[in-house]
Amino acid sequence: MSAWLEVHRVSKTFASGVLFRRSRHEAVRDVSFALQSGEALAIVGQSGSGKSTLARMIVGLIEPTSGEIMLRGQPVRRRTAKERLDAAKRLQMIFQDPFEAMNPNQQVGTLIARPLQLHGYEGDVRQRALELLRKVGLTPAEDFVSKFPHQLSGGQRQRVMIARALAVEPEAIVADEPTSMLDVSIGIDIMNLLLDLKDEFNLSLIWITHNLASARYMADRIMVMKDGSVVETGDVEEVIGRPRHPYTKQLLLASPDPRRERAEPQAASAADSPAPPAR
Amino acid sequence: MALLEVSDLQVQYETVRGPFKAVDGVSFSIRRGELFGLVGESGCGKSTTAYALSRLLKPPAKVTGGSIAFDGRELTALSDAEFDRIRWSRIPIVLQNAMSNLNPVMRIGAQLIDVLQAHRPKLTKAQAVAEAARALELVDLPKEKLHRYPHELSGGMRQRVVIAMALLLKPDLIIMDEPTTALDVITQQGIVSKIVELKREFGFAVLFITHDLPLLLEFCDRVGVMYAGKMVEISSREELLKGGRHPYTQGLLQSFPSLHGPKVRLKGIPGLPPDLISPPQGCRFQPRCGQARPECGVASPGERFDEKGFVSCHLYGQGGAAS
Repeated sequence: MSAWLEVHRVSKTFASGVLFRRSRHEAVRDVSFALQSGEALAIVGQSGSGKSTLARMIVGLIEPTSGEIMLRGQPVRRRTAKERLDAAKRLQMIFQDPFEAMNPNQQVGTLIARPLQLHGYEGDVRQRALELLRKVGLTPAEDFVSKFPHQLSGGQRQRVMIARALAVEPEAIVADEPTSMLDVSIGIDIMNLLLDLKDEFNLSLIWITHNLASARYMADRIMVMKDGSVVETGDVEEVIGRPRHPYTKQLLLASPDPRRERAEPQAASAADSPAPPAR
Repeated sequence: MALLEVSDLQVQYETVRGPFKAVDGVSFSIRRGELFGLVGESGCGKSTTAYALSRLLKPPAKVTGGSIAFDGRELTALSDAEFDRIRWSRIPIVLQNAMSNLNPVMRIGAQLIDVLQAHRPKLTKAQAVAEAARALELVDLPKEKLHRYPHELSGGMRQRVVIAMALLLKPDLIIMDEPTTALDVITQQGIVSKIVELKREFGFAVLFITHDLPLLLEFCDRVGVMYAGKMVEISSREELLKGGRHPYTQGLLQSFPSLHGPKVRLKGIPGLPPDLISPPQGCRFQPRCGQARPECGVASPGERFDEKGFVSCHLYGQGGAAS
């Protein structure tokens, strides 16, 4: 049986510059992977690794230059409005900056109702919006429906975006660094919320991040990207516990982690510890 | 004697909704050659503190009280002209965005030389060029970069240039406000280890401000934790590695996923930071605190200085003054 999502040899090249100074940049290079239903995959990489470009191709915001993306063995087609709507119903994305993903003139209730209307929801739209707000922990929901984005905190905005993503009952959520602009204590709440929702609705999750520790927290499998290519992939504990690629090792050593020394003293010997305590 | 002694610092912002204190009675000290971290989440006042120390606050922000003693001198009493003489030479500040420190239309070399000549007028051009080149070498940049413009360098290299610039005049204290936040972890690691290495060689102290507590625990001697305009804890790195004393610090440590040890569900900290225009009565963290007791909502916690450092929390005794 084929996987829920299959990304087959996908590449994306961006052209830039004008006339005589044209240059081409290969943002994503020949990436393939499969994702099972209900599985969580973390795509980890630093800026410029191509992780966000890959995410955007998966949800159809941009077209791959080559390669194919398949859902349950069928190539995803997004040529007609109907095809785009069908794909959107299955795969939803949440973004790094929720403020940019919201119309500032629309109240929360309208923001959430919009996808319901687009996808022809037949029940009571308002009731459904309230239910979704409660689902993401925005209570009392009646207060939140009439708020405008600027009246919400960053964490609350991200919750609204999650509610909006859930509105169409998707099969998967692609989350592109949704916590990187939030304070850590707020970010961890959002991560916990996504983990709960994933279990409750058996969602697949693609978690895009530059932070290895958050990848471990959120995902079962991990894919490490560098300069548009996948350098290592595998079970998250396996890759973090025994990285094989030098780049993964380098990332691990550079990631601050107070629990490193006590948990695994051998992991960071004095010589290659990033910054030994100055004393 | 401490190199820097900040006591009861108050910074007030005037807004249309009324005044609020972004920094409300913050005290801490930094010893010579110490790596001191200041951590907290957005709006806690950590950057405002850095700007107050460098006298870079702009209206509507204003220092409204407290004292800043630096190497025995009271900085708040200095005139702007007097302050200008020490700002970069003895207390440089490295900002999150290196481009806030650099001039985009001047070559790197010209900017470094500019700093040298402004503070050491007797220096000849040739000496200044030689010192600028040496400063770049200290941060592992070839002297050819003197001829480059900032935009020709990567983010990490630019931040190294700013650190070189900070080192030019043999400072006593370098303030760093989120200097690596915009950089990749590998670049961040390179810069942080460079700072530690240079500190060992030159003996300057560092005030390193960030929201990233795990990063501070990699290299700082002591860390101050701020919440809603207040200092809530100052502890050694060792103490924090044991989990910290203030419930907010404990919550903060519980908010960072780890790469090591068993995978556990993290609790984080419920709720949101308070609105500083009308902060909650009593302890400012009390509405989010899992260990709050009846007195926490009534009286401000006292300030406890002891052998472990500093903590301001009712759990550690001292009823404190009613607010």
